[in-house]
Amino acid sequence: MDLAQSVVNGLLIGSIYALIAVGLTLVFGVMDIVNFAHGEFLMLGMFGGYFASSEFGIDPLLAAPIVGLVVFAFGALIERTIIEPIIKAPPVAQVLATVGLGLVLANGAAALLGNDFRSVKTGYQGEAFRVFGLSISATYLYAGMYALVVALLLSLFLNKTDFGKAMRATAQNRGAAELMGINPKRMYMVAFGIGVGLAALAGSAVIPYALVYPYVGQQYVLIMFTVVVLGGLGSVRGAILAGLAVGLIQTLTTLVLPTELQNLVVFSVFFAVLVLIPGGVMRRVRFG
Amino acid sequence: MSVSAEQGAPERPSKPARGDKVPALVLMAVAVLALFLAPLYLTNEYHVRILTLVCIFGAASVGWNLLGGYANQVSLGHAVFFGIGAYAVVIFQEKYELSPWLAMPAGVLVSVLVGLVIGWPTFQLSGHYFALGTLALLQVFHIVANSWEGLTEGSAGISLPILESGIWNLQFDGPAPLLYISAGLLVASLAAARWVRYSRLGLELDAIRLNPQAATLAGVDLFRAKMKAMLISAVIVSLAGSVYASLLQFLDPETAFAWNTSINLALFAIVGGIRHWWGPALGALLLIPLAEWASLTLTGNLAALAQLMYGALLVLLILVQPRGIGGLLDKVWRRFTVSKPTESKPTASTP
Repeated sequence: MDLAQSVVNGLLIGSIYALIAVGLTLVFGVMDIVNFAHGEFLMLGMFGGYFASSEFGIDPLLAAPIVGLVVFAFGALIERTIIEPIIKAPPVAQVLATVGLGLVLANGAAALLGNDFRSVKTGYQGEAFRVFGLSISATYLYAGMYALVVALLLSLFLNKTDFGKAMRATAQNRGAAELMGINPKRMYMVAFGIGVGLAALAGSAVIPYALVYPYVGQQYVLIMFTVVVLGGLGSVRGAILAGLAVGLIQTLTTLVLPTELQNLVVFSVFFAVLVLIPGGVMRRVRFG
Repeated sequence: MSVSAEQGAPERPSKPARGDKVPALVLMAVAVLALFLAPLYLTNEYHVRILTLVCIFGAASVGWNLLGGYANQVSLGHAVFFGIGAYAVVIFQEKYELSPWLAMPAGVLVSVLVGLVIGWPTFQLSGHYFALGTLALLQVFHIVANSWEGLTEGSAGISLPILESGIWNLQFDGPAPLLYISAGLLVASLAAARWVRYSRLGLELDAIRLNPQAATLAGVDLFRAKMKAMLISAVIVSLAGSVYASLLQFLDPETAFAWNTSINLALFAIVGGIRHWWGPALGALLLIPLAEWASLTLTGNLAALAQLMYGALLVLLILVQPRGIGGLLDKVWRRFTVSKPTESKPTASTP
């Protein structure tokens, strides 16, 4: 019973991780940039969902696509101004520039909104579905379903549409793509926008059960790096599977270890994967 | 701090990088003298404290730069060494009533061991992966410090007992003695950084930064060179952490293994100039008083603006002047030194 419950919870949390990590891995796959500010875009999305609910009375789950679109536009703008100039710079510059961007976003939010923890109230918050003796929280279930659907849509977009194919072509070989008439700068802008937009969408989807505060991104940042590295940097399918795996690791370790140690196991797995199999568990196939 | 540009740019092989222009050292000596005289003239204890912070974080950033700047291996986990050094002091003093002077070598020893253990796997990673791996390590230490309550008292933190004041306990009636100690640490780490810069190791790190493959072909043992830099930098950062704990007389995991510490060490180095041994110290001298001033004037929600400013500065510098102030001074210096010989001997030089 406990075990089955943990597995269900782990999969639901894990699908959210998957959605967050898919955005991060997309940016890396197309642009070869590790976005250390990804967690801060998640934070923006959480605040987006929060204000949609508290100011306009719109359910965060309904607001999520709008929040994602707004952050998509914002991300595209950021890409043009900050990321584009450093796209060929050494990794050091990229790491520190995105770290700086994260500081600006988190502290900007703190300066504007204060440091309080906030949460929203929705009608379905306390509800749970009972299936085979398992209790499935409504908020986790909705967010998890949401994440899987969106991740699936992204996969379809990348594999079935011309634009998605062009984006994958840019990821594989920028020069060749350019010769085929693809404008790589446009691809970079859109890819970065989609990547951070997905993080924001995920943020809005989790706000019914999660607390939001300006520095919440730091809490997620390493978990999503774990997911991305475990799945192979740049692999969308890998990120989805790894997201589920990390969710499972988290809930299963709480069965045997104190809660505060659950991330210790996750990060140890992360470190081990990084060192032993730098390409990730899924072999590095860009957008398989 | 020094305002002289330094030679030793690799693109001028005719003058081997054996040392910098005299003004760098002379100005450094003047700056150090000023540091030591400062307590006599600064009546405000708070100002002395800021100077102490400059020395501590300046030294730590100089240490970070050995690996992050010279060899371009950006570590986001150097707060680990800082925290180990700091915890050594509070644990020794609070639990066993042992002097910080005994704790420092212990902290250094643990830091070196940790450096060895993490260097072995992470040096096989490059670029992004190295940054990610060191970041993961910092999180691991943070969690361990929070949950190993028998050793660290967890998130409640450890306050040091009030002991007999004096050099042995590193507890003093006034702020000046600790400034002297941190200034000593800063000078020592600058000396180490300068020595590395112009030693064979410095050349090897330069080669790694410019082109790791070519460096291997030229006979550089990448792993050994990086490891040496890592260990020297671990020692310096650990000592800085120890002095910081003595300054605070309190420590919790949040302070010891802070993400902000890791970022700040990199930031000071980038602002001052990562290609120069004195760059990080200059960065700390400029930014720490600025942040302290900001935290005094900005209260409530606006307190976050200080960190926001750091972040914006980081982004801006990388876009506009990735070599920091040191790089800027290099350009100015080159304009002076290059224009003179072409005027006196117009036939000899070909540009």
